[in-house]
Amino acid sequence: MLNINNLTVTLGGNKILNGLDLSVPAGEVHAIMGPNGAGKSTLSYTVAGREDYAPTDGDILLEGESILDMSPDERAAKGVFLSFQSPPAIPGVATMNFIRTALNAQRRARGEDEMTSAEFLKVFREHAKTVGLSPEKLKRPFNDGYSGGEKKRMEMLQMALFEPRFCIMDETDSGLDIDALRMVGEVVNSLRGPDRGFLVITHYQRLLDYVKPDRIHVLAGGRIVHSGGPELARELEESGYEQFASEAA
Amino acid sequence: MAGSPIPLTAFEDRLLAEVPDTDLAELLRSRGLPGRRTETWKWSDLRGALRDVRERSRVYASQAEAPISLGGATVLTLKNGIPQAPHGVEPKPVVKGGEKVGSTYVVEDGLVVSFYDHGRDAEDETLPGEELSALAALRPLMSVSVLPGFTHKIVLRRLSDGEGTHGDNVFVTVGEGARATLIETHEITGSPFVNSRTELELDAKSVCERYIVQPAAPGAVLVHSSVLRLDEAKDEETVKLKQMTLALGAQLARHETRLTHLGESEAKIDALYRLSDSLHTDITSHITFEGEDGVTDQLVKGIGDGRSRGVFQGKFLVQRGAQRTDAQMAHHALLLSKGAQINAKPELEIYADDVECAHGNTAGALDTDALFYMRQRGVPEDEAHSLLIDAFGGEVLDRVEDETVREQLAALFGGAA
Repeated sequence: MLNINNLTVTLGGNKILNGLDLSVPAGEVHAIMGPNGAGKSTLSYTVAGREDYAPTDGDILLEGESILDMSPDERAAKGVFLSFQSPPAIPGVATMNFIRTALNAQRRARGEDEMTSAEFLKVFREHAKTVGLSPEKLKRPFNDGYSGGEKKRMEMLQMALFEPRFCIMDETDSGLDIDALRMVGEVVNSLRGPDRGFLVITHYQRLLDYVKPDRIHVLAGGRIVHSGGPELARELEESGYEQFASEAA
Repeated sequence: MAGSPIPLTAFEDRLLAEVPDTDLAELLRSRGLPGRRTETWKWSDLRGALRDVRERSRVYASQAEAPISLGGATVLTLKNGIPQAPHGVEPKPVVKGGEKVGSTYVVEDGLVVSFYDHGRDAEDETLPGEELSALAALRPLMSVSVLPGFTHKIVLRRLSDGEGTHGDNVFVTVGEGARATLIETHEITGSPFVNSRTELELDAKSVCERYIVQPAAPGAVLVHSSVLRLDEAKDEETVKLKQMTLALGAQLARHETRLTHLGESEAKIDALYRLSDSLHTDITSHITFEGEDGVTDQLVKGIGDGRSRGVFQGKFLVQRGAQRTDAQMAHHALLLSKGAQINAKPELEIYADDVECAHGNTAGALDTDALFYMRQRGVPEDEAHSLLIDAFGGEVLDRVEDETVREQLAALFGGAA
């Protein structure tokens, strides 16, 4: 489904991703773990198409098609969704209006019919309830005055609503309490299916108690230095990343 | 103080011929029109923009569609500075000393419009740059009175065309306990120099919403000076003014507001400007707090694209006796291109010790994090830009209480991309 080959990204003269290879087949959840500064967020921005994170080498293929020349919105319409580590507030932009604009822009790009206000409102409310965001909160401008946890709930609301083909979750667990973690698990598990893939970036084992990964990769020094099954998370929790430092060098 | 005379431009010579031999003529002769060398006009070089001779404007000959409308309003029109008689109302002569000096029209119950053949000397207005306001004050006067206790909506359309020069002089009074909504438009085609003046007096217990709407006029030079006086409170009721200017640029446009709080009164002096290409807009305000308990809340926002220039100059002057003044000023600008410029000068001058005064000023580019986020959600770049720009301007537009006016202003703002 998602194939990343020899991805190299340089930021401010520093090589952050250094020939990274990764393959996530459809239907699977892969987790990426790694020390601070390993390049995890750079990977997520590069796949999503942020212009200042353009690779100097390598390729990213979604279902066999290179997405490197696509703009961020084109990638979104193709089904790439990034749950941001630090989602921004957008003062003055009404939440529901923005999400509906985004959803319909994606549908237009795919040649699908736009969703009417009534249809949208119905699904929006359902998902808002699932992620635990109150109607009062949703009347505010996008993420305006939201806590860190509420912003993550908003990310999950959109992920559930957009039904993307490939989801990248960049430290969605940071700053979440146990109930919110459980909610994240529910959203991911409800979306899991044979045509959808997930890349879950995290520092900790705890999210993986709710979202069971098929594979775990260790990212260090800008490359995948080790891969294993779900048991790898617990090993990393106990022994840390030190053992992979030499492989990354 | 008049300095040693400077070589006048051809247009200044032409203007001198229009004004009698007064202090104003002396000022013009000694320092010319305000421009780069005048501190309060250094970013709006009017002198430079008006070097060539311009003759008096000819009769207005264009058709214009009003950019904004207001249900139930009385529409008054000035064409190239000349007030047009209201339809279907018989004039009555205004006689002074046995001579007819003008005509008056009772347009509706409690709304009186008068035209006078002459203006008046504005002797007190000899501050740098005030020559223009004083020049306009000499022109034939149009007076609009909302009589005490009445409620009226007025749209004052200033239509201009050609390449000459003209101006106007409008005096509006809102009587005690009256309520007025006043929309003033500048609808300009061609490349004239327009020198407009509005004097607005709000008597005790009156309420006024005032909108100044100026669609883009790429060839024009426009100076609109407004002189506002807010009466003090009476029977514990304060005068309330809400002013909003939407300025979409000209070759050079200056919207200047000089407001005086005589005592306890409340004012909102907002503005929103949006500029593209090489358009210019200057929002200048000078708020004087003479009496106690004056309140001004000012929010000005602007967007510059292309090689445009936006200017904001805001001053609060709190005089010695003006205790418990509450004055807030904010100007925020968004630059969409490398060639656009914003110049801002917020100033506070305070001589009273029990006041709350603050100002804030920022200028920056669109938030790239928000932009990327929106695009990651599938919103195309142009649409994401529009959403962010509308959100930026929306903060000012949201302060307009009248929904139909707000929607029309938002459409004009959105259409100015």
